[in-house]
Amino acid sequence: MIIESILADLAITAIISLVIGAIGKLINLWRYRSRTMPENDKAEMSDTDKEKIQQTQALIHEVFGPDPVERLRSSSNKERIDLMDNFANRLSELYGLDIQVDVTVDQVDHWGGYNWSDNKAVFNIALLMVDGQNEHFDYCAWETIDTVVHELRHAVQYRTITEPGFWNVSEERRTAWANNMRQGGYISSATDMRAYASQPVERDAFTFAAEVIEGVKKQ
Amino acid sequence: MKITYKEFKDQLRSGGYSDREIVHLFQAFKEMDNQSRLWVIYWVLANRLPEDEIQGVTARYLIEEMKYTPINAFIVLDWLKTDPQAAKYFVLKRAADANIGETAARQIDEIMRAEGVELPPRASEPEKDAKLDAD
Repeated sequence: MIIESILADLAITAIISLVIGAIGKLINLWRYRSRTMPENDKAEMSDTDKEKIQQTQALIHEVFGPDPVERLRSSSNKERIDLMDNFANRLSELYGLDIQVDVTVDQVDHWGGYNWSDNKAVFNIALLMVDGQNEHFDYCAWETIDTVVHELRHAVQYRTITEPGFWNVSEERRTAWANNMRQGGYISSATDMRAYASQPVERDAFTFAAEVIEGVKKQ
Repeated sequence: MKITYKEFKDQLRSGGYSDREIVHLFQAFKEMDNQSRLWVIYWVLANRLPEDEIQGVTARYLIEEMKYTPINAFIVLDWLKTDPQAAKYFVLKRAADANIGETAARQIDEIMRAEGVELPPRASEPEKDAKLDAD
């Protein structure tokens, strides 16, 4: 049992190294560090969204301190898991979501996410299990935090569809989200990456998370 | 050079794409530039990957290192030509598909129908001999 667990950990570490290696070449080639979400691709954020974005930034500051990357870098793997678990659960509370939130590190084929039918969010933070000295650790840290915000925004979208008025979302936006998630309306990232990123629910979730992270980085 | 919708569909079906996805992708490729359409045609007819490098990456890199399907790699390369800033940003994001599930999809459909919002029309399937062509 212990040997199986050690082998599983080694397998995850090896696969994560490959993932970071492949994406790391593109990070260096395209100079990721100065990149922000293009304004033309952003969805419009309402006043309520802007307020929640600020509250999310304050929560990040509270949980991770003034420099989230350094906080995570200097933490052990167990501390990183605890930090992310604390952040994800408190963010779910802040957003007024009545959902189950779990953090895992034992998957490499899926980064986790919000399951609309089970009303449950599972975050796979295996990307944070890299060495703190890895040249792309900052990418791993920001992307992991970004994913939690992004996926919980999907939970807000679902709640808005089933409970009109939640977060004061306009009817127009609510209908666009609902139609996107009706039968045959959603395009997966594996089918068409470009169409995936521009469909209503994803464009909105990418924008919301980007606004949060870009704001924290500026602070 | 050209391929028919039927040839395109047969190739994608063997790759596990659904009918709806195939209809979507055929239209998406029709809207791409000549070079990108040529990549698709060569791949469908001869399983050949282009050697062209766009913004420093090739289809082979996206497929072998980033684990994209050939179809998605062509889309990303085309995107890198038309809107490099956006393409780079999203390629470097960790894409996680929304997991809607049967229960929530049915619930959302029922809610919208009760509110009088009908299912938006989906793209219809092209004729079998509809063409995807490039010079």
